[in-house]
Amino acid sequence: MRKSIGVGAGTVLLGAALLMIVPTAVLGQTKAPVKIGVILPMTGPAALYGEQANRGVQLAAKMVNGAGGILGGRQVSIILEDDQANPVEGVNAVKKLMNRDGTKLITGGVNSSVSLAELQVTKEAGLLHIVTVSTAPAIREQGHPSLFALQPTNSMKDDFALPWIAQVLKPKTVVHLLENTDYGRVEVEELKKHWGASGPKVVATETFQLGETDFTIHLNKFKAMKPDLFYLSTAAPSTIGTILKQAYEIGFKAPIFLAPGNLNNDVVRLAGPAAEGVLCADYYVNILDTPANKKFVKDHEEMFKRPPEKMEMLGFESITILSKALDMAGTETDVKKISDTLRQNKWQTPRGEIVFDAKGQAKGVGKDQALVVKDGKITIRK
Amino acid sequence: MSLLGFRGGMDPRQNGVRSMSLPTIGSTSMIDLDLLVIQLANGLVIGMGYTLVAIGLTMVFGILGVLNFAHGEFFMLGAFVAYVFGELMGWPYVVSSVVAIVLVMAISFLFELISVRPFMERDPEMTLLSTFAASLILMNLVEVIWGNTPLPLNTPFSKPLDLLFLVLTAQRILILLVGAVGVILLGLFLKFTKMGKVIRATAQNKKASALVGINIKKVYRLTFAAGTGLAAIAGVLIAPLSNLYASMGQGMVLKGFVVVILGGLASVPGAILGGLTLGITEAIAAGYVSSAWKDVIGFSILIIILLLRPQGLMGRREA
Amino acid sequence: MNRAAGNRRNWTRFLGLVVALLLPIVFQDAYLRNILVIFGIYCLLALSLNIIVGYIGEVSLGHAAFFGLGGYASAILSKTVGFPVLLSIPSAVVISGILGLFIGYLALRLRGPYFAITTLAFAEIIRLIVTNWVDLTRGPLGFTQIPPLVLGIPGWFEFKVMSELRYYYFVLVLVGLVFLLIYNVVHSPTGRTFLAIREQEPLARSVGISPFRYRVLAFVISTMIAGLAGAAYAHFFRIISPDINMVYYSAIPLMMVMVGGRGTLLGPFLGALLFAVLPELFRTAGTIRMVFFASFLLATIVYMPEGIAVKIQTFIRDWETKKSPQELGDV
Repeated sequence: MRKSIGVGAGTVLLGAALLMIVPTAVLGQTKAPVKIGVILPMTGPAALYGEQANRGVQLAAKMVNGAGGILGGRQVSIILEDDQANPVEGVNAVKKLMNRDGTKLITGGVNSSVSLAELQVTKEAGLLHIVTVSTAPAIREQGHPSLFALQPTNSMKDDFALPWIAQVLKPKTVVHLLENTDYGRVEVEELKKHWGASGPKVVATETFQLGETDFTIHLNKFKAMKPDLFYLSTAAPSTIGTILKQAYEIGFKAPIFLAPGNLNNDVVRLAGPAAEGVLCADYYVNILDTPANKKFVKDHEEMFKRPPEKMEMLGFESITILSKALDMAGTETDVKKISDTLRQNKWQTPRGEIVFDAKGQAKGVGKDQALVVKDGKITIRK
Repeated sequence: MSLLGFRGGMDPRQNGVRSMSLPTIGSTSMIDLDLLVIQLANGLVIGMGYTLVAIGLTMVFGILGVLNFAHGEFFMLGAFVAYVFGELMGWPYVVSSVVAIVLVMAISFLFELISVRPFMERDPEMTLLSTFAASLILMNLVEVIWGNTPLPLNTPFSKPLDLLFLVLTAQRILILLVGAVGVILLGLFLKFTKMGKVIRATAQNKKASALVGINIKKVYRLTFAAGTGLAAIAGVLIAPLSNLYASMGQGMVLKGFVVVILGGLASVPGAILGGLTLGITEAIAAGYVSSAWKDVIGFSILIIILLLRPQGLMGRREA
Repeated sequence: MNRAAGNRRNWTRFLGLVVALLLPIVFQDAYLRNILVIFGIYCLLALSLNIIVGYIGEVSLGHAAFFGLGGYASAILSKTVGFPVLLSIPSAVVISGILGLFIGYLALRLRGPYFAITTLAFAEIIRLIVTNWVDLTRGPLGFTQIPPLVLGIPGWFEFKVMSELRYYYFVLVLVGLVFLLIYNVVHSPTGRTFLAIREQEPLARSVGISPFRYRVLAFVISTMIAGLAGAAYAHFFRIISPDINMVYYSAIPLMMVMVGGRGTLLGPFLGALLFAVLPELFRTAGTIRMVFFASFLLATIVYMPEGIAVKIQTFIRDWETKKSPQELGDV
């Protein structure tokens, strides 16, 4: 009796031991995933952009994992945190990812103020920080050894757009409406820099506070001056939509150019018929005719039943590039090695090929395009 | 030549303002006059919005003795319900608006039941906190459902109309018209109908009214519904001017308070005058000083008024 | 005051202090310690609002103004003007107090809803100023790279209070000091005067007390503590944005005080625990959180308007009464 119990127990133990070892070897699914932190505004005023970027992130993770994962077949695991467009929440999210989730890989950031706050923490803690969307130049100037920024700064975007306006549209007089922030003020300087004495003349400059909803006073002043072009420096789609609508409603019909990077389908949706004919420029549109982009658009449409835009592309880029870099560097914890890998290589993405300069700024080899809204759709303007 | 030329499209080379045969003193002064007219018009329009909101607030205070901190949320809900029917379900603007107003009035029934009624007997002062809490619930609930991104509410009245001195969209004129009509109708209702007299009686003396057999509870409910209905009307009219967002009621209710105190508590004519005055003052400030600081003006006025006549406003209301 | 109940209370408080001192040892995780610091700051905020709501007996809807002002004042003084943080924090407290004097002097002439609206209007004005005076505060972009708190004399020795652990003890000290201050005031002749003013104003007046003066005094103390909380916030997170002046930061302490139990010493702590710690632990989004909180507040007002702390005290007192009839607890 005792003997049979002994044999029975022994068999069970042996079986359990085998069960533990064998599946691990055979299935390989108990390998620890590679955790990547993604901090985006999922609620709050920038939630739209956060959702878009997140779609790109999720698609990228799916693609990477579907192709077998990285670092020896390990799956990429995205840990998404909501920064609510609030710098303090962003900082909390970094701390949580660092301490509770134990990852050294931080990506994300739509609002520049949030990224600025976060990078103080990632710099002090020696984490890898990929800034997905935020464009403030100050982010690149903090002397952060492991920070990488994907979007061109607004100055970089203006380098294409402003000369283009001068050469192609040739307006004699321009009126400029800008938001009362660093961004807006830099834009004023940019216009002076690129247009100077011989280019278009800025005959009026009006500033508004963020959150303003009634622009008719500025627009009426502009209208009275009968300018050849109306240049608008503000980023939030809702604000742009309101301005376009109100310009339309008071019968202000000068051509409108949105500061580069600010035209997207939400602006078109919000402005309705007022968006017709609006101009802009951007380094990425989803109708870009390259094999990499076409595949990206197709995969995105398959997964989400809608076409991607710039934010999705940036989110996608952040995870794709990071995954490849991790794999190439062979580590998820040696931040210096990963940073070196990122800086020393060229990266293929839907928008073309990019490299990171010494400060971590992504520089694309692709081209900026001028855009115009025609029949309710964003098209490339020749 | 007709004085008001209604034209759909505008020649792009035309000014926003038509200059009449006025002596030209200098180009700057002409532009100033144009701006003044435009700002006055804008001020009148937004002032009408304030008036509609303030009338509801002041009536509820006058009759129930409750300062409803959630009043702005009914303004906001009017706009959002209209959005659901108009934008999401594709119904015409006018139909969605009417439906929205009715639905919001229905919601106010529920609201009154939960946030106001339990305290009317016990401790009316608690309505301060209960309506404040309710406003937070409503606002955040709306944000949970529809998010924080501003939403559009489209109206068929958005074509610019070329009037004598300026260009206005029909929507803005509509606000003035509906507002004026609404106020007149309310006045007639209060003065000449039986229910109107009952309401006025309750406002004057609750105990006496109860003694002569007036159903006070019914009066409360009706007043509340009327007040929130007006706020909802303001919501559906004003939302198309810019965008909808969950916290749009907060700013509105504060302005409502300013108007109510400016015009005198429980005074409907006061609310009308106060609302239009505030609207015009803000617009002129926005035009000649800066848009950002126009809100500060309203609140400063509120504080000054509250403080200059503390005796008159300080005594506790008679039950 | 009854000896046994008083002793029991003191022992409870001592125990609470010991627990508070040991908490960071239990919670080694930097993220959890982060939450402890937030808890401490909210305790300060709740204690300060409790003075207005519990001891003066008025509802202020604009408390965020002082919280935010304290934070911005200390941030700007230490970063832009160059004060050492040890100086900028007290300065911020004083600035809050001065603003509190100004606002309190004007607003406290009014009662009930009028007082509430006035505080709300003032808070809005301050929020607008902070948001729009971009040159000073950087407006919506937020004020970043606020210097950390450094104890000591530059050149001799420097002790950076930056990590969660050190900052927690710093905040604990602040909470302790504030608590002692309030405790002593409440149990002093001044405290009894406040009680008299709140409960029996005509009588108080008849013996020559000026309720208005006392109320303003209490208001100023309250705003100074709120300013202190704001400064503590600023030097911990080292970034501050105009969000801090929004209604949210007036509503949350109000909830803490109302639900926790206004007019009690324990109430604010309970409220801070409920409204600051739990949500951070669960990291739910701000909006859904607010729906629950506000519903909770509404339910509390309807069913338990005196707050949890008072309910506990009543419960204990009833229990004590059952034990021995002659041992009756204090108010």
